[in-house]
Amino acid sequence: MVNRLRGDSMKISFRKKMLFLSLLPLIYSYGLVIYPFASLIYYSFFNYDIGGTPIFNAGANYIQLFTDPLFYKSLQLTLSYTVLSVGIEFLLGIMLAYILVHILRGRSVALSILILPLVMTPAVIGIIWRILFDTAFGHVNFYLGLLGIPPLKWLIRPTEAFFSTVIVDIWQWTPFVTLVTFAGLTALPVELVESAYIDGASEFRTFKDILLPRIRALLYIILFLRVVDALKVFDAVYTMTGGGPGTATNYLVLFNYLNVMTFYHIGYGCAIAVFIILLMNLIITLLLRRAGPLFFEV
Amino acid sequence: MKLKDFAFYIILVIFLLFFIYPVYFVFNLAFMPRASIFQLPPNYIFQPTLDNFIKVVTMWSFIKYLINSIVVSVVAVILSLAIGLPAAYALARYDIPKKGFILPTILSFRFLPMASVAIPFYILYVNVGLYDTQLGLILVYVLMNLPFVVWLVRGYILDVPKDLEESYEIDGLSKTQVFFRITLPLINRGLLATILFCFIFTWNEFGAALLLTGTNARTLPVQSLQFVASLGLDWGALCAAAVLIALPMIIFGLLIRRYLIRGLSLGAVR
Repeated sequence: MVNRLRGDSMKISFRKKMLFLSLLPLIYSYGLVIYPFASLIYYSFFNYDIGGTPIFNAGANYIQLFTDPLFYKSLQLTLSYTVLSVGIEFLLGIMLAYILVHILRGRSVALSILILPLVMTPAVIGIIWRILFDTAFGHVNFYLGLLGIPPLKWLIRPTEAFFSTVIVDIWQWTPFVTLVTFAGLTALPVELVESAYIDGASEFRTFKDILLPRIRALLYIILFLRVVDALKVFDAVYTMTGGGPGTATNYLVLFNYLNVMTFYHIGYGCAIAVFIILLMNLIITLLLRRAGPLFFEV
Repeated sequence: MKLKDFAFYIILVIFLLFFIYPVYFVFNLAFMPRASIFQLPPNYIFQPTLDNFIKVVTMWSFIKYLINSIVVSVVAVILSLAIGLPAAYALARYDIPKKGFILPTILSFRFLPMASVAIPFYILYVNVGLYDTQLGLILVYVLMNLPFVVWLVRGYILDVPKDLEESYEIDGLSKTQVFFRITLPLINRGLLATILFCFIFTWNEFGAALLLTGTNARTLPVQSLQFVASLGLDWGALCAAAVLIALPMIIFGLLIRRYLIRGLSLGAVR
């Protein structure tokens, strides 16, 4: 009797210990962000420039934000960037995964090469591409010249600058789509493919109608991760174009950063940050409602 | 059929060249003597030189910022493990109430835009004296790493059969002993991969470091901007700096190639 009681109380204290341990990351994370996030909201209602005194201005920062043509331009640019980059990454990425599944030789080399863009420091990637896109001495223009295309003013003209950031995003993240899709495809049972062949389906039809639907959940997760990361793009664009020329590559987080650190408008910057964090939260909640269970399933 | 295979290889090679060219380019330029750098068509045959590397390492306190990067990354990863590993174990093995809330909430911190999140930290750090300190940056990086540690390590623990742990408990080992003597050795590869994975992402982080550090606690990715400003058209030295910053990550990335995909997809593929 005494022993059983001791056993039970030990069990309870052990369970409490496990509950505490499982909550530690959240305790740390919320503990760290609660004050900064509260002050972020607080200062978003102040006219506060670096070096100045904060002056309460009610919702003026938010009114400024929603009437700022630069903000709408930034929002529109970010959406175009995301749709274009992620769309191309998906098409290319799945095509390359399809090829990788079918070839026998050189797979290992290909997989190693595909790792490179994913682990290189994004800030450094921006600097490398800045050199490659140089109008006079850049290799991009040189190789295009071999194809008979006259030199483009990549980082100098707005349209070209926008596309140069899209190209860098495609360079960085297509390998991610390829590698995850490839891993998903190779994990499928071999019988699935074989039985499709026996039924007389072509390789491409087998891929499109039988294999891809089987990894639909995985493709959804890839899409989710890519969309969220593209919306908050910062590193490589910042070191390559700095948001320019003018505001041609002034994506949301850059718009936010530049308002704080270049124009010293902290109060306004806080309002922008509140908007971005709320927007990200909304998108994550909407998408994670479907992706969340998928993460648990797989 | 043969023709199709041939076409596959052509397409694959074209794209692989696209992916590897910038990497090849930066290594090439880093070893290139100054005179060859602006030659077009590009000069691929030259006497390699270490001048660019010597220039980078001896100027602009490269070593100081290298040490910053190492210290910040190592300490942040260790702290993330200390907080995240026990949680990963508890969340993998025990019936924690509200698990369906805890796990996605931890995960949600992975999606925060670091440069925006760093703004209120900047205000706070300036006021409490944490601005431009390694500690200030480390605190934020632990926040950034925890989702990866918890999700990935939990996945590796789930791969270990629960029956195995229970059989050792019947043999008289305590739960803590089972964890340290049985479970941990079984997941050591996954754990090592998680450590390197977090190290890569901490080392590469740019947005928060840009806001929260000045000349003192700056890490290499942020210092690379300084290289651009001061080196300008000295592309050789700039590329040498780029190689020194990115090469360790390339090596780590290739070492954990198989695990990297699992990490990037947050455990969605095994």
